[in-house]
Amino acid sequence: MSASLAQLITEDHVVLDASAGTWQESIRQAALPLLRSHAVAEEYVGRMIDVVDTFGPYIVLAPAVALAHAQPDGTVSRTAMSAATLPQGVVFGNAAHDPVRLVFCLAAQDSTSHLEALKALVQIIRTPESVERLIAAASPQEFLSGLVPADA
Amino acid sequence: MAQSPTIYFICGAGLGSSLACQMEAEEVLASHKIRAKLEHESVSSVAGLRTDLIVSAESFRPQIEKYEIDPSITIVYLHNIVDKNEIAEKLIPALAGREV
Repeated sequence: MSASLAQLITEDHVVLDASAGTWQESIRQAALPLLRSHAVAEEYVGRMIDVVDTFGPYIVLAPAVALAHAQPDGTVSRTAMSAATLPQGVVFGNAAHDPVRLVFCLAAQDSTSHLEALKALVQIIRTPESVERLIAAASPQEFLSGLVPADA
Repeated sequence: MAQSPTIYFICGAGLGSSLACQMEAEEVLASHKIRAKLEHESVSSVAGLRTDLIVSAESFRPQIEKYEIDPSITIVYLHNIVDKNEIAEKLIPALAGREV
């Protein structure tokens, strides 16, 4: 059973108009709702940062968009996602796609429960207009409506 | 009888970016009518992997090159792992001769 994007990113998992001086800080900001709703342990946030420290900014999947994630190994209590918009942008060191203005955090409890949501997310982030619409969202509701696939 | 080639998509955690890349590749392969078995794994599992192809991001090249990988495996590195054009450009030629 795979959850949809709307099931994983709920209104209280959206952080609008965040500002971060560093990419590490942007991941921490985006991950706050996951900590608050106890979807992940504090350690998972550090793991998401470690992934970029170790392997580079490959998590910046599209212009302006990063998908922070890590292996769960007991630090994820339920599959969930969160998102933060950073209108001022933050540099991840990915020359092709910087500055990042939209950071998603993915906490996957296993390797399949987030399949459907990830697929929907990829569809959205490869469309620059959809990304801009998400970054410009004035309310969490507006943000979530931007996650609904155009053909649905 | 030849079998469909196996392709492993590799990223740091093995469940986010690699999966996103796999899903894009799935569509690319379908549009070229190529059948393949697609799997995803974390970079730490690369050593000893039995597969025909490995697809990963350029940023994993240093890690992957540290491992001893069966020389019969073709490795494809992508700058943008969700760019269908780049996937098609690199993956289709790499599969030539391996497909059924």
